[in-house]
Amino acid sequence: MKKDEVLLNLQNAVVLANFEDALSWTGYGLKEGIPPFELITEGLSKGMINVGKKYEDGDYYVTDMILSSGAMNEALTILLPFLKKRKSKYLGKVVLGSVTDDIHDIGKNIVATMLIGVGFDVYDLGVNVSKEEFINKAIEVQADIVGASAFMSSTYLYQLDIKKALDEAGLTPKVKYIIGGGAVYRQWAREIGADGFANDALEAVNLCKSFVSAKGV
Amino acid sequence: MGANIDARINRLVDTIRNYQCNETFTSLKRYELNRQGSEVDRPNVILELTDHAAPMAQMTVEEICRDSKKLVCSQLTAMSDYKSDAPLLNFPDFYNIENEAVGQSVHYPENSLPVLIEPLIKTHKDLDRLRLPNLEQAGRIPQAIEIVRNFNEKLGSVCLGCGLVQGPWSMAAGLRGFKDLLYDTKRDIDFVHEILDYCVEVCVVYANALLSNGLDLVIFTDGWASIGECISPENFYRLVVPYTGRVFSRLPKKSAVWLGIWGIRNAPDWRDIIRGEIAAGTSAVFIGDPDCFSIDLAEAKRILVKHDVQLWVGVDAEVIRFGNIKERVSELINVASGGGVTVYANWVTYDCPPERVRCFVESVKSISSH
Repeated sequence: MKKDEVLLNLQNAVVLANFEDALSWTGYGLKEGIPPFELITEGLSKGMINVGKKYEDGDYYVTDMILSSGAMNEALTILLPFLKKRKSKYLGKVVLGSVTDDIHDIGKNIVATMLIGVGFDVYDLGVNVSKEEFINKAIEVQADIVGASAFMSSTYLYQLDIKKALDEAGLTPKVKYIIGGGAVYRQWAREIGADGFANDALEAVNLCKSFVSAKGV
Repeated sequence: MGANIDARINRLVDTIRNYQCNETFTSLKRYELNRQGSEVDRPNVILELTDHAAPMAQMTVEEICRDSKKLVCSQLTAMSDYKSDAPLLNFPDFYNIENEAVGQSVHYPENSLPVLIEPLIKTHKDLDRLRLPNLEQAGRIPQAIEIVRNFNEKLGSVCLGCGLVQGPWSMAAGLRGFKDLLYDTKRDIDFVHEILDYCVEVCVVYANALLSNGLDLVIFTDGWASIGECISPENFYRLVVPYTGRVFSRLPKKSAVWLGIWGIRNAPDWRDIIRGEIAAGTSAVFIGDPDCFSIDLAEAKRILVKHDVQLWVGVDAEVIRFGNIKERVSELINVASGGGVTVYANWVTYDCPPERVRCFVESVKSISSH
């Protein structure tokens, strides 16, 4: 089978959220000698871009994006170890996490998957992440962007703590700070002085891209 | 502390009884008239205060989520200040009571709502092991029942008593983990049906226990069944409506309200979602903000009236916190006027200034009575 066909099948597996096909076409591609980075950028990522377009056109729901990113994640479990060796290719470094006391991660995980898909080096700290953990990781990896997600009405206040900690650590304005999550509003982002707010995963990806292109990373 | 909190609750009960009895109708009477299709002075206003109420009663969020008396005290403190019409008689977050009762672990942060830690159902065998909760000792269910019983004794004759529980789909999302439940719709659909079968039984047992202890309305909150964000319309009709309908069919007539299904504006035809809810047997359909401003609300009301189903409408938390409250309420009341309507603020944020909440309640009362 030609390389283009394999990549197209991989794209379709993501678009249709076919978990089984995403895994098997990734395995097949590797076996056929297609470079892992190409499987991601030309296969999985293009599939996710198509999913994003369908979402923007109103043909897909968020729930479809979750399913597609699930199929992509299955494939990434095989490919991520290869990816880590290609750091020079990354668009930029993003540290992500759900704030203290918040264990909701669906939206944050979609953002992480999509950022990886478009070529960011993503350090996902998981859930219930303290401001110290955000700051330490941002310093350690020399992050370009820090993103904090909050789903609950009582946890989004921690996003302000992270902003203050970034300021105190001298990381702003070099490190951009973006926030999102079910409990968060654009107005809140302005109030705390965050550099950006994302209402959904696509907006988060576009925001991150705009930051790194402005910086020329 | 025990006697002290009892005294506080009794004082609050007196305050609430007084202001409700001084209105044209008490909230219970207004609700009953609404149910009979009679005209009322204004809609009932219900606030979902949850963690917002804790600091008002000088308590932590953890305290009100673990201790039934503190929960009641906090809810009545907020209610008596804001002069709203009905408290929500259950522990927040409403998405983990049943799950905890059947064995799922819950984390209680000091100043945030409790959250489920990890899925209870990871394999088919995990599901096989689950049993129905023992109402006398399962998690916080005995306390939840106690809350309802006490409320009924103290305020049940004047004040509408509402308790929030989960719909089977949302309960399943908690037990299995939302993402995995969703993935299972692609990977193992039979497993999804088996989990939902189990959740139906838990929902029925729990809701009936609350109703038999004096609750007027069981509100089935189902945020995980929000259209587009959490479930496609196809899966809503296939996996949510039938199972929720099975629950409603085993409760007293008109005792259940289905709430928290957001995003009906995202469906190809929002009318189909409403018809699905009606078919399931809900006594009211909740259309929250921004849905209620994105569809033809007057038409929605006509559909509901035809089926003898009430309309519950909401105003978004962001509007209550930051927006032009009077303008928004006015816009809502203009369409959703007349009988059969309840205004339900599904979320008052933790840090929302009290004067804005007061403004919201007063706006509903004054604008609707003009």
